[in-house]
Amino acid sequence: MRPFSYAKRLTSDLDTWIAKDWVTEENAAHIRASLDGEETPSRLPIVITILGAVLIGFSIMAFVAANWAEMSKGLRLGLLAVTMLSTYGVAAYLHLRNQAGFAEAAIVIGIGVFGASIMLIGQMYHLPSDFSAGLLAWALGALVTAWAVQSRSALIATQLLLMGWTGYELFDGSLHLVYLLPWIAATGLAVRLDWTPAKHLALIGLFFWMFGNVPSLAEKIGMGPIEALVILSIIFVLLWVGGILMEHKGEVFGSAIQAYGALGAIVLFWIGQLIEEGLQGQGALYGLLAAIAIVPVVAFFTSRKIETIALTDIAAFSIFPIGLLIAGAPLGTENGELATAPLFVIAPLFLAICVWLIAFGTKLHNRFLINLGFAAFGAEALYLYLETFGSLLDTAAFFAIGGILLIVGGFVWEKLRRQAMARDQEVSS
Amino acid sequence: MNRNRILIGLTVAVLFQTGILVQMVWSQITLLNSPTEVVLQTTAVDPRDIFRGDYVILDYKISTIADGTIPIDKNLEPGKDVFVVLNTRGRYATALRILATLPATLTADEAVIRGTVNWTNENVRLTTDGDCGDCTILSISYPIDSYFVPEGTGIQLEAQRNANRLGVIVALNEDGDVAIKGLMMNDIKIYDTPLF
Repeated sequence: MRPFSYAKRLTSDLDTWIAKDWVTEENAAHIRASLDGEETPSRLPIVITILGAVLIGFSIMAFVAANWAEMSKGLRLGLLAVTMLSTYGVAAYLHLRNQAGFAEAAIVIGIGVFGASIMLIGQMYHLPSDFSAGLLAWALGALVTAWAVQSRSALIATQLLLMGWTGYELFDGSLHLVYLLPWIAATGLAVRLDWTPAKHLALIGLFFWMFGNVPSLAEKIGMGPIEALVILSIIFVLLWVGGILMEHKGEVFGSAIQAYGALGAIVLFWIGQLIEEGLQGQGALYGLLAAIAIVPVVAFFTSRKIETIALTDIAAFSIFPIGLLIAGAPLGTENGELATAPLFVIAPLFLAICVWLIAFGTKLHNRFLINLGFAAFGAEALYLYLETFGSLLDTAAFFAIGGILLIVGGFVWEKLRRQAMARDQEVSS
Repeated sequence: MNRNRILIGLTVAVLFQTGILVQMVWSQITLLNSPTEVVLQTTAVDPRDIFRGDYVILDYKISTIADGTIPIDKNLEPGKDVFVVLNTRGRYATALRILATLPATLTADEAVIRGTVNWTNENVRLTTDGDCGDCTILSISYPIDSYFVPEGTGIQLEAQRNANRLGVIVALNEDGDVAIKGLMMNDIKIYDTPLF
């Protein structure tokens, strides 16, 4: 059943489209008829089934756990085996009956039973509380299931379990490079199935792992926070440029990659303002400059394929890591000693990048980039307001002037944003 | 996917998952069948941390060792394996020496248990234990840190353990791997861990 509001809106729109000769009377009648007659398959029964099955699964596990003293180990192991086998058996039966949605639900329960079995065997034999090893075993079981049956729900379960595993290891403060192996296997399946949610989760898993490893890695190789931010910034900008290329080639996921790249690059630049520790030395500087040089080179070759990318855009892409280098450069003083660049050097650069982001988003008709530019500009304005509070003017005057500026600024930004969006819509229509 | 592929896929998934579970059970059963069996004395730990739900956290006398009392290898690092040679004579097994590698030979009254170095604290002056003015204190964890008990009995065990009356019977193999076989209280076995 379609929602009433949708039907009402479509009926109203159809009248307008007929009046504008966009839709013929005949086609409109077909659309209205489909609205009345067509029943979209409801997901509600599947959702209810999944919830019910999850409850039954929990009930079995709780029963086994609660009766552990009365029930022999052999019986408990047998019960676990029967539960797991019957769950996958039901999945097979449902697949053969072409009930793919319900079969996916059964597979999820099977993976849940497998995880519960790991925990219960650990309990039965008093195994040490190795949470990380348990999560890895669970994730590998889910991964093999996902590949073997090409199951989307098993894939999502795998990705979440792998994130839990690496999160646990990273929380321990250790470098966790081995995560990449199962991540590649899971991401390979996400690409093979061409399923957008799994692709998003793959990227989120990668970023989660990257950000988690950076502190340990930086410490291991004697890298300071600014150097680490520069390297991450280069990776995100290259990802962004790669996303633009993918979108240009017609790959739908390219716009998502662009969004992740741009978001990561702007957030890292903003964090650079907060770091008080400077660059580690000249040796590090030359190495970073060499790495940064990759950005304009890649952007230049991209601009040869995509005409809309101009020289100013190539420069702007390079500003992200360069800005971080400037943030860590000894350009300021504190208590008579050299310190990192003061806010009045970095903030204008950040605001300029925000303005470029809005212009670039408009040029590419990318709403996400436009909104990101406005959001970053607003966040920076608020940050500057809070940072300078109490030191520039008397408190009362600062509140008054700052308030007026923010209100006027807000109106101007909103007007600019609407103009940009209107231009964007005009072009896309 | 066609029907055969689904059936084969699900069979592969079930076999793989069952394999993991069987390996978990089998490794423990093999260990529990080991002829070497010792009793380790537990020590009191912070009562706010020791009892969670239906299991008791176990800490052992051989978990904290000072180099003034027994010989300790110098090249021990936190996070690395450590091998504790045990004297199996007497009511409870006691630590004889701490090694960084598995000992090549053991006497008839000795067994070895593998642990992990938690931390080392150097240059500690001991006043109560041993004759050592410049000691290294070593903290070791063993993969036998919890014991699941029937609902409602944990608090009683906790009290016995805090009074140093609780012993843990463990099985050991020649590589120093360890598994809990049961609990003893005042020399009487109160819990056993059957294989099946």
